[in-house]
Amino acid sequence: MNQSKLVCRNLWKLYGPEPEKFLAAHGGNPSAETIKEGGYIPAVRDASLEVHEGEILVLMGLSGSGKSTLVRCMSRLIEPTAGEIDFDGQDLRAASERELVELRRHKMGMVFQHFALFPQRTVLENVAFPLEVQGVDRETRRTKALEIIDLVGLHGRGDFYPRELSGGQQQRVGIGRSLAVEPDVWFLDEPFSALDALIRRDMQDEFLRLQSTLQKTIIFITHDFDEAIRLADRIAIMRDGAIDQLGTAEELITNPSSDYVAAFTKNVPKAKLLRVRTLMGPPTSNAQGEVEGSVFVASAAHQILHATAPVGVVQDGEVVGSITAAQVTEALFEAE
Amino acid sequence: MSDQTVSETIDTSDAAPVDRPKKRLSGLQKTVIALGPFLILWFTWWRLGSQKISRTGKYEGESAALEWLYRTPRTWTVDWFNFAGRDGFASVSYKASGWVNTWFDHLRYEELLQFTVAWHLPKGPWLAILAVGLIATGWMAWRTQSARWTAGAVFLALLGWSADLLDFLQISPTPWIYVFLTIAVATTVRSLQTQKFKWIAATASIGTIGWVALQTKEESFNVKSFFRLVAGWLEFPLDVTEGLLISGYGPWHLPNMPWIFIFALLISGGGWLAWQRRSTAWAISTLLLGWAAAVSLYEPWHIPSLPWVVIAGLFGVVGWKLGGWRLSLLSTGFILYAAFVGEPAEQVGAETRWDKTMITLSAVLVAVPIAAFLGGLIGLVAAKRRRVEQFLIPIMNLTQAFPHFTFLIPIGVFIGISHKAGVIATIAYAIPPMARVTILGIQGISNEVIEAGIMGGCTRRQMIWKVELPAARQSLLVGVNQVVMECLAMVVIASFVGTAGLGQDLLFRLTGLHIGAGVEIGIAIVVMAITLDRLSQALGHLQPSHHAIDVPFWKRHPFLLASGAVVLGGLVTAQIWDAAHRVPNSWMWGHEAFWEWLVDKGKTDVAWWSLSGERWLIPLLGVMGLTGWRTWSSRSYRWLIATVLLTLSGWSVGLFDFLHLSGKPWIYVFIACGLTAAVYGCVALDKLKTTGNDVGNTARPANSEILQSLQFKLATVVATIAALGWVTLRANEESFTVNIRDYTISFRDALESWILLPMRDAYLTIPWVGLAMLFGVVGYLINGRRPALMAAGMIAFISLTGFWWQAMWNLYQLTFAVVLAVIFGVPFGIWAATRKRRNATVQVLLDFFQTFPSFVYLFPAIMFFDVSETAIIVAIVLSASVPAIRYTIFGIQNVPEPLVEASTMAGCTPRQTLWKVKLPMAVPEIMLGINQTIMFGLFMVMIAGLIKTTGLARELIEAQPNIDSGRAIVAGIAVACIGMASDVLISEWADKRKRQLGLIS
Repeated sequence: MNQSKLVCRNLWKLYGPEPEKFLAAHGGNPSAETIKEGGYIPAVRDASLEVHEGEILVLMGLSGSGKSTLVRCMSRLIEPTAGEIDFDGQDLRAASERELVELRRHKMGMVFQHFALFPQRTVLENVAFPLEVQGVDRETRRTKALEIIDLVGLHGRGDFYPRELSGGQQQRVGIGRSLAVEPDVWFLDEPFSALDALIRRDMQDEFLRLQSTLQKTIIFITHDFDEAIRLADRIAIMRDGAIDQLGTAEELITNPSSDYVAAFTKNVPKAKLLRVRTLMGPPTSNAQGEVEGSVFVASAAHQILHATAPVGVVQDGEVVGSITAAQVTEALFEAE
Repeated sequence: MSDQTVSETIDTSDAAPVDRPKKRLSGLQKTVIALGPFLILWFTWWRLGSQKISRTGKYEGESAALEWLYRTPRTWTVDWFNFAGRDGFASVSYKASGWVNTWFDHLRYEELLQFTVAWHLPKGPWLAILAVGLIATGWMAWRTQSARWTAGAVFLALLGWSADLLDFLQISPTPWIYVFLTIAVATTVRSLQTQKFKWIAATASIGTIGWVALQTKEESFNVKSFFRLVAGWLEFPLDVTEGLLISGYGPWHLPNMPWIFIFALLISGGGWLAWQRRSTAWAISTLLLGWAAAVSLYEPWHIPSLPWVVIAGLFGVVGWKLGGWRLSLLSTGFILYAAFVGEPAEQVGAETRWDKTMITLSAVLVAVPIAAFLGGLIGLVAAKRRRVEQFLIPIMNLTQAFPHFTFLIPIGVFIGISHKAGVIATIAYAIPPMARVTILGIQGISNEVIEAGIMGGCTRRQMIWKVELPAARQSLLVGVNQVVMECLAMVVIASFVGTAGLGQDLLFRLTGLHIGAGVEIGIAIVVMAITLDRLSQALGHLQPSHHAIDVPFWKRHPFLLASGAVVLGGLVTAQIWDAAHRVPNSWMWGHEAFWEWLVDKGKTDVAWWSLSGERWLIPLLGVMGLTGWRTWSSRSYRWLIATVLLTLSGWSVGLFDFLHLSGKPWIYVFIACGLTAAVYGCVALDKLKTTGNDVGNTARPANSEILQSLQFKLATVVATIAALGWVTLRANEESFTVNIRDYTISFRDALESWILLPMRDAYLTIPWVGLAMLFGVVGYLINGRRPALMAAGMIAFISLTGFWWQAMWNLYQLTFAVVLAVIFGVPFGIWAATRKRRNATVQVLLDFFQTFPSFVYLFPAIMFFDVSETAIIVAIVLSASVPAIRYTIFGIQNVPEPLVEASTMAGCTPRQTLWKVKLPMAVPEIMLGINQTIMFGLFMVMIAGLIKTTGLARELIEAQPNIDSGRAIVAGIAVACIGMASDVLISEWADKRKRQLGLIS
């Protein structure tokens, strides 16, 4: 795959008196019980992950599972207690305040759950805000901001104030603002959670459209598994501050590492997520017809179910296995 | 569903072992424990010792223990701290003095800050102590290598030196040089180390200051003169605003100090902008400014004062911009009132009411921005730094419990008596609330907005200017509103240290007991307060909104254009017509006589009632025509009533004499009232009947009940009016001028001789040990040791200050008044909270009353009760009822809606819901209201010192003219202690109770 853009290793965030000392005293890796006995609250526990360039990594978990804290540690909005963060080969934890400001001005963007728009600024001024603090001159930032306003579909609303917009439109402004500096890494903290279901769907489409043209490295937080499946290249599931499992949606469904992960994936329409090659059996001689191994079961279902014999599975022009109607039905109507 | 399974696996915590139920005391037991010892002690002292206190408060008995029971003996407190045999102390200590008192007296001699004189300690033991301290801190500094210990050691050395302990070393006599040297060396080292601009700048400025200090004489480097220098900076803005409003400012020209600075700043700023933006407008303005500066070198400028027409117009435009035409009307009305109402000046050139109003206005206009800026700054720093906040919050709590007068003392000492000293006191008084609001505002910004700012790449400075301050704008403006109100509250009190203007005038009138004139000035201040309050509130409510794209210039900037037009038009008019520049004497009109007539008809010659002449008749007829027409076209009773009132008022001032109507206006008043009531009632009945028929009986079952009660009310009103009218007809005209005061005065006499004086005498025999125990025990029962120690400690401190019986005097006034305020306020609040519309009306009234500066409540009190204990108590009750009512309403409305619904569904009648659900839930809030009532009452007792000084108020106010700093500050602290002791108990209790009720978590 591509090279890593943002890496964090053994990241810790404890709340309590002098957490560094506590962590050091327990060899840098205290168990959940010791932390609880010490009277500390673990927001992030020993989290390690790599974000590849151009991918969408979704952080999933219940509220309070530490996903927001993890992201804020990765952007150093919150100072982590221990661990390493590597941004484009640069050690982020060692970065000075000045360097951090520079990074945020040019390489990071963030979208917030409740939009976090500045109420006293117009849409244009909100979008141009990151450029303004960089000291870009008035004309340039105006042109740039207008471009972005068009990009996020708010043409002609530049002079409106945030309170004059609907929720969906406000989040478009938030997205626009975070894109103004053309960041390399884009953090989205439950960007669509505060929106109605229908608008959320629209915004997800909009988001995918943007990403198809922009190709950013994205870390996306959500607590909605459907959303995660729609958007993610890979999904990390968090519990109690630790990362339970990290993988593609398919991996999570077929091979959940714990009951917790399984509980998340239980009610997902699997046919749309499982690929033929995941379900297939060994190749047989009486194969009737062929399907591509990388297609989803749902799109091949018609062909397989109507075949009288197992269907051959092909990958890169070679037959690698076969699949029967029974296997498909089992996958679709897995016993609860 | 998946969520639940997951969360169950997490939640494996074991249930805590069940505590053994604690033994609980019943209410009766608690009361006995708290009150028992107190009553016993009180009784003991009353029987054994109280006769031995003379009228001047001197104890003449033999038993020292007995005196100890009552208060800390002052011989003890003075002697114990009368160290080093300074004979000065004996002569400064007052009839009631304690050690704190004498300590603060240093301030009076300005000695505290001239170390070499004041700290004349003998050597010997002190030197040994110093040496030990120095060695210890020095060793610690060496050991830990920490800057703190070094600083401590240096500080100790300086301290010892300033107390002449180190004389034997024969070093130079001015310690300041060494201070500077130390700091200078430190900063130099630091700037060499870091090579940062700020350190280099600091070094440079310290070098400059040190050099200047070396140049000047030793004596001139005195803290007092330093403060006066700083205070001098206020003169400039004050002069400019006063000049603009009243007398004109000038002559000014470039070499003058602030102007050269201001010009340099403006021209360089304008030039920079012009260059940066390539803007012709800026270039032209800069050139104009430069031209003005150049001209001033040859011929000084003189700015004439603004004509009153322009000021009124500008206020109108500002009001229009901030709050529409109503506010515009109010603001213009304020200026018109200031211009026209008031006694004409006796001789030409004397200050008129207009001048005084404008002096006060300019003081407020100067004080508000400065106080808001400083308060905002302090608040900003505190919001950013947790330590600063922890340090500031208790100080702010203390200063907010201080009576207004306490702020005057240090000002008087350091700055002296002058107009600007009063302005500074006002600023000092208004800073803490602003700081508090700023802290709340900055900390209340949502986390996400802050994070958005950081992620946008803001540096710390950009965060403050571009994110935090704009986001906290609303609450900052609320703070500005508070600052405005605090400033106006100080207007009168600050005149004790020499602030000119309305406040001073009012003070003279009040002390001379000219009630009429006092009321007139009071109204002027209230009008100003209401106007400025509404203006600043509206400023906070203002929301930005966008314009459509191609709107012409004049539509986008209507207010700018309007103010331009007002200024131009006003200036031109004033050139042509002198009366538009300054209101001529003959136009002014005072109504003080009316107020005196209202109280005591015999005293005055009823000047107000004999206005005559066509000048007034024509406008009156005009307005009457207008309202009459509105009545006809809108068929609304309000307009009818307005017309009738207008007619009556015109008539009562004799404008309709030429019609030769009957001589008894009151008859017509009654007829008119009766008719109006009858007509109004009939229409209301009709309306009710038709709506009842329309909707049908099932929908409005209560209709008939309403009808009945309405009929009853109507009948009562009509009957009362008829009866009163009949009585009036029977009596002769003269007998209707009832002197209300005859009644109020006899009521007062009865009240005082039967209740107040005995109560006061009883309170004066309360022993401090008993009271401290009472507060301590109550505190302990409420929430353990902390509130107990705090409350008891504060009471003990009052005794330690040596103002025990004075405090008890005020305590009696406070108790009586607060009980009355609660008896009136709480039921009224309950009554008001039951209906939505009633509540809305009451809220408007409360807002209105809360705008009054507190001294206003003195007027009705003196009017009806003369200068007496009763008047003070009435004033307290009037001002302190407002919070009692407000909090009661708030508490009842804050009862969670589901609870009310549940009780209604359980079948409670509205009365049962009130008593069994709403009231118990509202009690904590009501208690907080009572807490506020006590605070308001305390302030009012002190302000009542303007007319009659009692207890601590006497210590405070008598100390003012000669700035007895020690006495007044200690009295101020004693007052604060009373307030804070009750505050600790009540708010702890309310907090605990709210927690129990689940109102807060």
